[in-house]
Parts: sequence; C-alpha cells; structure tokens
Amino acid sequence: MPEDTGDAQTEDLPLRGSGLIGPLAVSFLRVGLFAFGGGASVIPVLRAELVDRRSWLNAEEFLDVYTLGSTLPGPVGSNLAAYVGWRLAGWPGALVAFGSSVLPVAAAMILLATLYATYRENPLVEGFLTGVRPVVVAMLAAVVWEFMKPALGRVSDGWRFAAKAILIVVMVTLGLSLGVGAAWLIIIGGAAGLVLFR
Amino acid sequence: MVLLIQDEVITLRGWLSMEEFLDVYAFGNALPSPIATKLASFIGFHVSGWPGAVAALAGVAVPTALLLILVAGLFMRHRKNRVINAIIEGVRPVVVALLVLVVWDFFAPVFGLTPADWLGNWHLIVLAVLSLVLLLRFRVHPVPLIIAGGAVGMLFALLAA
Repeated sequence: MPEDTGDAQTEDLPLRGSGLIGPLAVSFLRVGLFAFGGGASVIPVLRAELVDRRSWLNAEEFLDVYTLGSTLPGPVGSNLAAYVGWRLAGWPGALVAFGSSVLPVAAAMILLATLYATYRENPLVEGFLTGVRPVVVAMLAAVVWEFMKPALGRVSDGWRFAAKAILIVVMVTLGLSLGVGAAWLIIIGGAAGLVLFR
Repeated sequence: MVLLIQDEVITLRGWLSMEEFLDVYAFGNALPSPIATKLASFIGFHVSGWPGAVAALAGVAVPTALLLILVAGLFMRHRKNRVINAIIEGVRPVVVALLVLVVWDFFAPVFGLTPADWLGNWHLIVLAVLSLVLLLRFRVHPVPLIIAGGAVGMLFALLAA
C-alpha cells in the first residue's frame, strides 16, 4: 500500500493518488468512530491520523486547515474530511473521506436506536462513557500543547511571539470572563493579525 | 447547532416532541462523532426512512463541506499573500484559545467542581493525567487510549455493582 505521501506540500494541489483512497477511508473511519465527546474531540484523532500516522499534513498545515475549518459553519469532522480527501485524491478522495467519517455512526444511530431503550441505564455503557471522558479532556489538552508551537512561532521571532502569546491569554480571558463567542474572538484575532503581522 | 436543530425539528416542523428529541440527543451523546450528523441521520430516518436519513445527513453536512473545500482551496492558493497570511497568523492563537476554553468547559462536568468532588473522582483524574503523559511523552495514538479509558470505566462500573 503506497504510503509515500511524506510531504504534502501546498504548491501542487490536489495530489492525485488513487492509492490513497484506501488509507483515506481507514483514517477517516477511525476519526468518525473514536471522536467521543462532541465536536472538538475529532481534532486529536484527526491530528494523530493525518500528521503523526500518515504524514499527510505537517503540524503547521494541520493547524491552518483546522483554523479554516473552525471558522466555517457545519460539523467540523466531516468538513475537514472532505477537504483533506479532496486535497489528497481529488473529488473521489473527498467523497470517500467524507463518507467514511459520517456513514458508520449515522447507520449506528438508526440501527441501534431501538436497543437504546433497553440499554440506556446499563451501567457498563455509563461506565464506558465515564472512563472515556477524562481521556478526551487529556486529548484536548495535549492538542492545545501541540498547537502552541505552530501558533506561536519561535521565541526568536521576538515581539511576534510575545504578541501571539498575549493574544492567547487575552482571548481566553475574554471568553471566560465576558463570555465572548467564538465567532467574535476569531474576528478580533484576524483584525489583530492584520494590524500587527502584516 | 443543537438549538438550531431543535427549532427546526420540534418547533417548526413538529417532527419530534421535545421529549423524543431529548431521548435521541442522549442516545446520540453515547456515540462518537459530532452531534449534528447523528441527529440528522436519526431524525431523517424517523421522518422518511433511509431516503430521509440520506437527505438530512446531506443537508447538514455537504454544503459546509463544499464550502470548506472552496475556501481552503482559495486560501492555499493565496498562501503567499501578505494580508491573508497576517490574518491567519492572528487567528491561529485564537484557535488555541478556543480549545483552552473547551478544555476548561469540560473540566467541571467531568471531574467535578469542588476539591471534595475531585477527591471522589480521583480515578478519573489519574486516568486523565496518565493519558496526557502517554499522549505527549510517549506519542501514544488516541484510539487505544479511548478504548483503554472506556475499559477502565467499565471495570470501575462492574466493581461498584
């Protein structure tokens, strides 16, 4: 199975490769099946698959793709699946990646719904979810750490580094104390970028 | 997004009652993947069988996926543009901040609010710290950790019974 897509550069898009269809399906199946705990929980699994395991994107590209994905509406997992699939293998890739990420769980929702009535109070199911949640929190914290480097740049960037660090702190504060919404924070950040980093 | 779905499905279309919706939502939360696609599939099926499920799923997920392909494609093509680059440089830290906020929001529901809660949930805290170390230091993939965490959770549930 060809896994020679070590450098997914941004210059020539899309990288056509029918050999990637299989790996795309497998990777996005995993994303769809193991992203427990809401929208943000797709990120750690996505990153582990796309950056660590497959090297389809490097750390900077992944942050950028995720950044774009989070500024647009819609379920982030399937959106990113479609984009990465498209970039790696054109429209067939987009279709396969998108489908793999949503179809299994969609089918499960429909087929298992009748079982839910029987198993909703089942302590094992509850136990499973209770055990998964701390892991998800840890996964998200780990992703925050991994995003720091591409987001902040190098310390040697000097004031830019400091400005970005301060930006993170300010945004977290605004979000926590004033409850400023994600959309606004992104707009403010973009404006700050325009002013500071041009 | 769940609120939007509620407005559309319960209030506007009357396809489900609030109670039915809450049941589906609770069940949906037990499964992986974002809630929107799960709700869409089930409600679509409930209203119009398999074609309904496909239509609902397509409606909620396809347009925005195409939009991202369009926008990201444009962005990548104009990557060298100074203005776009500057904006993205400012947005990247915000994305990190948003994730910090997500972790923060998860903290109390998962581990509890007070030190007394945290003590009672010591096994969950240990699980989280262990996972963090395995992820960052030992580069363990999230998937086996999820399975392990779930297994530990089931074990504790069995022991408590």
